[in-house]
Amino acid sequence: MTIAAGAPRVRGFDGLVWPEADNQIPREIFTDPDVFAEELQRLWPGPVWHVLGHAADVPRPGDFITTVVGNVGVIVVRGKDDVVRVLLNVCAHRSNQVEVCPRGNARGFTCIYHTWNYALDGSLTGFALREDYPADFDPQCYGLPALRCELRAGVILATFSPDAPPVDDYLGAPLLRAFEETFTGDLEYAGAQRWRFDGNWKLWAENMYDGYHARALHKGLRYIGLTNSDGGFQDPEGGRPHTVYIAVGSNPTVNLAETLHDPQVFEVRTKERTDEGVFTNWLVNVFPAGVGMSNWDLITIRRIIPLAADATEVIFSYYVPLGEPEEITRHRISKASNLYGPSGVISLEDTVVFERTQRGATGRGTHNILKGTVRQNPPYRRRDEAHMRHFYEAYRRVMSGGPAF
Amino acid sequence: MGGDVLIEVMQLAARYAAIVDDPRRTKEWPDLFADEAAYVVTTRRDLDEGGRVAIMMDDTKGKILDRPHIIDEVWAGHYDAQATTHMVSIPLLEEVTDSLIRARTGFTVDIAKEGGRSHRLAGEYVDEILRGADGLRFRRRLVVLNDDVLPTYFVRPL
Repeated sequence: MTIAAGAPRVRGFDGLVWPEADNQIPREIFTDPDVFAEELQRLWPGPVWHVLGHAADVPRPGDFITTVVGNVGVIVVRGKDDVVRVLLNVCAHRSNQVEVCPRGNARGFTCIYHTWNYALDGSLTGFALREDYPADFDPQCYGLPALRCELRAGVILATFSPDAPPVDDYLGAPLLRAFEETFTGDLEYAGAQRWRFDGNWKLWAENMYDGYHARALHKGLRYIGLTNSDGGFQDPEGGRPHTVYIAVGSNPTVNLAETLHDPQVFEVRTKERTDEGVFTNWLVNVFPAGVGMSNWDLITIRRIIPLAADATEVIFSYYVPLGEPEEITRHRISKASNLYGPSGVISLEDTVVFERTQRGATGRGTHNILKGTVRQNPPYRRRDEAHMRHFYEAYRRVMSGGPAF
Repeated sequence: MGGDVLIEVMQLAARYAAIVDDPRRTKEWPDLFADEAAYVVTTRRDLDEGGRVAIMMDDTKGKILDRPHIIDEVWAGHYDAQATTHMVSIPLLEEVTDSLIRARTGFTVDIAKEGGRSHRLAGEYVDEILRGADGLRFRRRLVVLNDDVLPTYFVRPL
């Protein structure tokens, strides 16, 4: 095989050469630092909606969490009026980070530098030494700006952009229905796992669109039971770049009693089963990188923070239904701890391949999406990877200044 | 409490480190634990927030016994080798009885990843150690890591 020699270094997104075939992706999108920087300017603040968490993260007035969208710090807070808002976490005065606690409850936010005080809705309520400000200083212009924020099935979505379509248009009816299936009942926050990997965030995002890899990479799935017969990617309609992935499971293909001393985390205790013993998992992807899942006994939101072209932070947050017997809650929590996370039985391997892929992606050639691409459009089958094409179509559109779909 | 107990606990800590740092000795790790035991890895932030999900939660001896199988069979070939070295501080013995010792020990672990970067983490072991006929074994080992965002995955126990 001849490898093309001497390809010039790409200078940013506009320097990328996209092959004609829509399933071939230039590898430089994973490795080029200029592409990464432009994503921070065009994609993360662009006409897209981000998944930030769930109402259960901020159940009572004054509850807040702090996080980052792209590279911009935000506060997700429930106000005294019970409304959830997403505020820019930067003092309108001289740019200090206002709230540093990752999670808490507050009556307001105070910047420690000059004691600027903000109410839970972001409005400026006070500051030290009022004299000698400019005559036209208007406190109403110096609050913490709010992002557009909507909740659907309790999932907190936000966007920086006035050009993002209304959230129901962005998600589409199939996704809204899928959120209702995934986040059922009254939930409470049960903890999170956070880790970094040495790889590009899009390697993580496309993996969440990948039905092809699961049985090959995650041998632990044999212990939990997934069937080949059913499930697949629903059509999100209207050319939307999201996915609704339904995976169907039944019984382990490994004899757990012979293999394990304590198979509890592999048992599925809370899912409804058909007469044949089959249960349904839900995995919902919201472009660009928001994920909601109800897999086995685990209700989770997954998101990422892009740190560099070759560095990403991953956050898995867990939620448990209120009012369940203690042993079921313990089952969910111990399962989350051992099945998922940086050392999860069925998730460690993903981090491994992201890092290896990042090292591999400096090689010449294209990143190729193959399985299922015999079909041009959704719905795709359970073990297809073809849906990634639509992720990259949306990525190209937004990075070129257009809408996601 | 005599200095002998401290030496015994330090030798247990050293034996633990030697086993978790050697990929060939993973199968000996469960023997460090009593017949009823728990091993949990979490972060300082997770504890402070009252969060319950951990990084590893082997809350039964059965799960502890299963972990070498996960590492050596389920994950086989699916991770980059990690060369680790644990350094432990002098244990602080908080309670010593004839049968039970409670101790806290600071530690760091250096993780050198094949093909990748090295990382160092620090944290604390919060231990309940049983004295049995065959010596000291852990009834409970809680590993509390200082980092709230972990810099990498962990193949073997910490």
